[in-house]
Amino acid sequence: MNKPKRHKSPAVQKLQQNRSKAAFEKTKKRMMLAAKIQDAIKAKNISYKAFAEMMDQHDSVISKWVSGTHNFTTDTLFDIEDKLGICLVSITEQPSVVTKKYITIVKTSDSVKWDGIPGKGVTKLNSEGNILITASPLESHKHIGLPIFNHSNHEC
Amino acid sequence: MNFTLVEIEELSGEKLKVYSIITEDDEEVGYTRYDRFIEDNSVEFKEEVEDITNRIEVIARYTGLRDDFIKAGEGNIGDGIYALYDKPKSNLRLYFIRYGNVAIVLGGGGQKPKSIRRLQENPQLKEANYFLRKVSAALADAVREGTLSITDEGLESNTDFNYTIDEDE
Repeated sequence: MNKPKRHKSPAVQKLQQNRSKAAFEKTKKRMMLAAKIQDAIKAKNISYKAFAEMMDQHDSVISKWVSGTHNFTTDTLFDIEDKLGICLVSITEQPSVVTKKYITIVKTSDSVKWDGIPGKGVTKLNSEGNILITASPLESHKHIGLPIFNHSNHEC
Repeated sequence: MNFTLVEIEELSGEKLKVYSIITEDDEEVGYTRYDRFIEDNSVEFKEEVEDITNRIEVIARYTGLRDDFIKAGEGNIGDGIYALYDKPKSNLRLYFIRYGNVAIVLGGGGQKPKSIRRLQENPQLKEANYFLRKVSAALADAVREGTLSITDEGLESNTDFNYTIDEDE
């Protein structure tokens, strides 16, 4: 069996090249969020009408919410999470300080004076003795001009 | 009028195959009906055209086609003509034919500001919609005749996907 010929569209290509990446990501997130809400309503085995009643909203509002085009407020999202028992906005339990790790790899043969790092940095020397790994406060790295690799890893 | 069905490479995805139509008038330039829609509207409604294209791409690649993202009943009963969900301040409408959740065939569209209630009030919109109804009828004939199949892989045929529209209908 044949498949339709694949068409390269200069019009679509031009549009995709010039579009705002942020706008595309926003559209994607809105639609995926809507899909998650749709799936949760289905999983609860309730109709949109019943969900509208649960949320104290008109049916037309629910249609808008699940259309993938709606710009939700956080309060609305929290209410939906509560009613459907799902997580839409991922935040940590405690409003904690964001932890960031700064790791720099430096060759000891370079002229950088690592032992002059102020602060409480952790240092290790590898078995061959020519690589120094430090994990120290950002200010220390800035102070002696070391490169900084940010390995922050946190949800949302 | 003759037309050929093609797959739009930049939009088609794992979750949905996206096709459009090249009519014999556009064969030389190789423009699909959707290319025409972009060309016709991307100056006056640039952001909206981008948004429509983004939404189609997200559906095709990430979410799959879901009833809540689209608007049914844009043609006659059974011809499968749909539009994307209408945003509150939108000016444009794009029509397509839906084949389950597997494939869509993008047609054209035009301006449909909120001041217009019926598509027949805008000649361009009417032409785009009625043309797609004829395309839908031609493809339905091909399915009935057994020369066009809708599979999980999209549309398949033992022909070259060339069809004829009866202009007098």
